[in-house]
Amino acid sequence: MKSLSSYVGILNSLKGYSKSLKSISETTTEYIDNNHEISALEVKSFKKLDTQLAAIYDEMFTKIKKRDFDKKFENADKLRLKLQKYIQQDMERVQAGKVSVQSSVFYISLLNEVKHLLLEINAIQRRCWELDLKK
Amino acid sequence: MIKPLFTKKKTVKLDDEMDKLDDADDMPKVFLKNITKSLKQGQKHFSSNIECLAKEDVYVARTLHEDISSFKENTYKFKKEFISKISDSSNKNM
Repeated sequence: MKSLSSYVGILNSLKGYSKSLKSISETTTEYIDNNHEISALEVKSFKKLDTQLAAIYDEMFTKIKKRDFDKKFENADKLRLKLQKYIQQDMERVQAGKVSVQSSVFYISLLNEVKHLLLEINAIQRRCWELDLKK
Repeated sequence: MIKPLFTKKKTVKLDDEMDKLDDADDMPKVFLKNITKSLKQGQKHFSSNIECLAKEDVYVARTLHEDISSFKENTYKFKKEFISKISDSSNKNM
């Protein structure tokens, strides 16, 4: 059995990943349940993010299928940097009165959880590389 | 806006069962298969979450949250199962 700690590390990252997902759905359910409104601009941004995440997942699945991992997962890192830009844009929207503060707080908290998701996906890929799981 | 108490919409139901580690000779293969399965499930859950947020559908959001909670429990269970499997094989080799 190769490097047990790396296997356990991957499982810990998966645990962190599922925890972030749960937090995302919990925050979303509470928000909708309280009849709070979300701006169309933010929904559009989430949909765009979903598409960007799909590309990250596809890349990850191809790497797992081929068992060809890199030390760095650049696309996930790039998306993480973009999230910072999305937060900045939303703060500008609040200042311009285009979205409410409440909606923005919700939007930013979800983006922060997506950041965690990306960190965990990155950690899974890095640990797979450490394990050198060649076919 | 008054929301309906119940709708007939359903969230994506996925297979919650992880592949059993006992069934395979190739541990890394089964391990990676389970990781892929979990990430695919996670991806679908995230997309469904965005979808019900856009539709502001509280019923679907609640159902989805339950699914994601079971998904989280499942990943915890897999970790436990994996560690116990490894401990068993280490004990046998001693």
